[in-house]
Amino acid sequence: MLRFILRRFVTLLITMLALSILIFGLSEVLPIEPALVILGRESTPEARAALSEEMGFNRPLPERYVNWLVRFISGDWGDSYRLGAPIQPLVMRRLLNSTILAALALLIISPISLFLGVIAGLYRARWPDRAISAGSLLTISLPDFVVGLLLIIIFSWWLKLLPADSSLRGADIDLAQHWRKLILPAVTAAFVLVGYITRVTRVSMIEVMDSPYIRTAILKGLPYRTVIIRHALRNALIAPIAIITTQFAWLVGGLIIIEQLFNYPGLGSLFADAARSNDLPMIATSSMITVSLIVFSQVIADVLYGLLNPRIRFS
Amino acid sequence: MTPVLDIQNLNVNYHSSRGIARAVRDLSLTIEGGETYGLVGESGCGKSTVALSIMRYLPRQAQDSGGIRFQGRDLMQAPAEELRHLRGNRIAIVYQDPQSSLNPVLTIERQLSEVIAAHEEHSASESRRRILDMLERVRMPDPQYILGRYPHQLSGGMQQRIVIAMALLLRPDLVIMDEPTTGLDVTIEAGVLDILDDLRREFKMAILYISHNLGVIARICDRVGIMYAGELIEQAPVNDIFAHPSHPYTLGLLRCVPRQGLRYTNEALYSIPGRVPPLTALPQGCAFAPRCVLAESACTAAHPRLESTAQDHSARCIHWETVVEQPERVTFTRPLSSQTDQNSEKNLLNVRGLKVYFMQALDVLGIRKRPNIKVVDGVDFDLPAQRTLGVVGESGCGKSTIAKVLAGLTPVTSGKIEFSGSDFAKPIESRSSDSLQQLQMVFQNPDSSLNPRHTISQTLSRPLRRFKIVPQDQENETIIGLLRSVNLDESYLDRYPSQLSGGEKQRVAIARAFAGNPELVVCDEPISSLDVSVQAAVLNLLHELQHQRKVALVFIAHDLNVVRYISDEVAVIYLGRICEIGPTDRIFSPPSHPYTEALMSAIPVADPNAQINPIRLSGNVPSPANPPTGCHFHTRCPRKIGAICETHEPPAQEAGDNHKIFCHIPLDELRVLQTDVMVKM
Repeated sequence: MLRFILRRFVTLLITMLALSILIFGLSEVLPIEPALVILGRESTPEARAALSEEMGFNRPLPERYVNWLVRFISGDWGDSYRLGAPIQPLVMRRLLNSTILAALALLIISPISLFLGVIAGLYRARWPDRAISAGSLLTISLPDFVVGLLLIIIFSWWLKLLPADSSLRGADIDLAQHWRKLILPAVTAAFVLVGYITRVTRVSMIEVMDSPYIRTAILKGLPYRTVIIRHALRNALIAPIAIITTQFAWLVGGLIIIEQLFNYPGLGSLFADAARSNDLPMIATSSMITVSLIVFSQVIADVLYGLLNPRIRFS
Repeated sequence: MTPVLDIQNLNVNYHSSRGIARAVRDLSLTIEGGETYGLVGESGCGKSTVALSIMRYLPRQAQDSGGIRFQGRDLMQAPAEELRHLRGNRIAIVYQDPQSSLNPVLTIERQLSEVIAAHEEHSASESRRRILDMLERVRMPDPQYILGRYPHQLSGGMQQRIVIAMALLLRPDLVIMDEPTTGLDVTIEAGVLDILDDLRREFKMAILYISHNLGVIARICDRVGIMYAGELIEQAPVNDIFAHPSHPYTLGLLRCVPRQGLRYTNEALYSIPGRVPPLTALPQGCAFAPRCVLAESACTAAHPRLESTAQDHSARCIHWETVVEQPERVTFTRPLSSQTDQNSEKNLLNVRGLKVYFMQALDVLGIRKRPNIKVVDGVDFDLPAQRTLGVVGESGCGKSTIAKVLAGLTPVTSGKIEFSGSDFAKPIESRSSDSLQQLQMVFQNPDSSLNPRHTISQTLSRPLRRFKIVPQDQENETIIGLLRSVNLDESYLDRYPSQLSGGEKQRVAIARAFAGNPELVVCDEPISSLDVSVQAAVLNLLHELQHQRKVALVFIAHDLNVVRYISDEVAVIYLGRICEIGPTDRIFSPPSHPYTEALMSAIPVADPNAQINPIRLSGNVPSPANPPTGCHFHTRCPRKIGAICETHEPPAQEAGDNHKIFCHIPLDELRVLQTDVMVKM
């Protein structure tokens, strides 16, 4: 098992390295002149040339790549052109905010969607399945901003239970103090995924219940509960759990609309701003962070998959 | 005495959008304690539905009526809790495909111990003791070790022994075996059958043994029931069924399997024309009448009753008295073209030192180099024009890889393949159009080798156009000719593969292979996915086409009798190497390679009185990534003579007439050893 995990991590490193080359290459190709972004349009060409020289933009490409990579790995992600401040502390704070929101969303998604999916699979083509399938289709087809607005209308305007504004006003996140602000964005994010994961679980459950080994288990004379819990669930939950894990990256880095809607200071909106303002170091950092998140959650998914499925573990 | 199982007038209907399929019709049978009852029939005739009905595990769209009594208890009325107590405890079932019937994520111990836990109360140590005891009885090597394994870590034969152990754990009174050895290699099958045969004597349980293989039935059953289209059409003690078949279908089943020793030079194979009728639209009267040579108007007028023909013997046929008078020998429907031109001194195909290694993925760190998998490891053979070379061996021996290499679908690692003068050791992309035309293939599974979106006429026109066989205006005519040559007519032109039966699809696949006027057709297990009644017809046809069109065949199969029937020469392969190669008659008489001998003795013979000398191979085929040293076969060889087998590759011994045996044992010794024990065939 340890070797399996080790192998996965080596693959992870290689993938990251390849992607870092791609990201660096892309920021080279982009028609952005850093000195122009920093000094503004009114600057003299001489000043811009001097700045470019000072920042090392005239060095050969491989050298710049290696320098960039070394600095990136050692935690020096440079200064943001737009904000003129170091990127690293800013991103780390946003990363923490986003991770907490994503974790909360997953806590809502996992039990609900796995439970509903299993029930729908067990009662295939009967009313519990029809109701669950229709419900999950509905949540999948509703865009996140519609869900978010509906929740704001219901819980903030009508019931006045929860705040519609989730901004932290520059403060570090503190669960004891801010938990009420997290609920609406987390529920909105959960809404988008719950239907999808429910459907995956349902299909997986149906497939397992039709399999010959479930027939074996039933015809062994095992009590129905044992058949479901011991034989069916272990197999049926493998696929949805792996999928939930891979969605984590998206929940952390991809909730741009939800963050904007609730004014929540997460990674998604930070990255979106960077892209709009040609903030090269921030764009590179955001790409690297997003890629790391995706690759990392994929590895976690693989490891989980291996743990749940001995066929993978021992091959 | 109440029988253990008593089924009366069982009817099972499946409701589907296409109507009501009558899967089982009015079936009655009883099985006494200690008796093994064989239920025989082709796929789709209702055997497995009977099994599921007994277990009360029919799918929701199925409805059954009638009576099923187990030791006097009515199973149809039994409440769920009572059924649960019976299942796995008093009634157990073993299915085909053990791999999928074991749970992949639970250890073997867990899956066995829960059977005991569900029905009896025992301490963990007592439960473990009983499991180990049962594993010993199914001759599982190293049971302690096996307990901690997962199913995928065991071979097919071992998995099936686990499933059998699971079924017998609580000493049930009735065991249903649904094709338990289908899908296993003959050598493994023989071992599993030995175990079953011993255990049924020891445990005195009633067994319902479902199979399509009459050889297996002859070996293990006391009484036999033959099913056709959902009905029992004949029932008798096993000896009577084989000695006096009283239904034309039974007779057909018995005769269409190539008997030992049968060769194409002597006679054509007996075959049953047509196909099993769809269960949603059964014909009037006797369901077999449309395929029966004895059919007359009386057969279609009224549904025949199951008549008693002798003591304990009954048949559902109004002609039961004349059935056995059917002529035994059959000739080919079309006269074969004059004998093969014997001037074929020139070989069409020369293969020398053929090696195919598969590289294993490197360790990610690249530290340990993994060995190559030697799938084919130095194979030499020749094939004269218009002749047939049969290739046999257990699964994983490299047979199919040889086919793929000839077709250019798998790259050659080293070695020479010369085909009518040109180099064929290159991949298919770099072969010339002529080369492509000269060599065609027929695959095992016609479902996946025919394009489902092409009509039959599109499928057959493709090679005609690609190789410019006929001018455009004669194309249609040629296609109809091709269809006729495989006993289909022009009504098939616009049909799609999904509208054809398995046998018909394989005929189309054969017609396609012959369409381009090839010189060699490579057939990879061409009949093993087909029903027995259809196999013979397809084999006859393949042979007729070969002779009319003067084509050479490489015929790959695991069934020794089939290979013997159709081949002029045979190569026996083990772990990527040839053990023995030569003219067919020579291969099948002493002296033979010990592996060939074991393969022959493993075939179940469709004769309950057959005296066979059991030679059983121990263990499984070793991994080709790490083959044994010296003679590859020494780890399983029952005739191993000593250290030389482990250290030295066996020499090629010439047994005359181009018959080569790769073995350290001197030929004279082999001949003496084998003449003593082998029944002269």
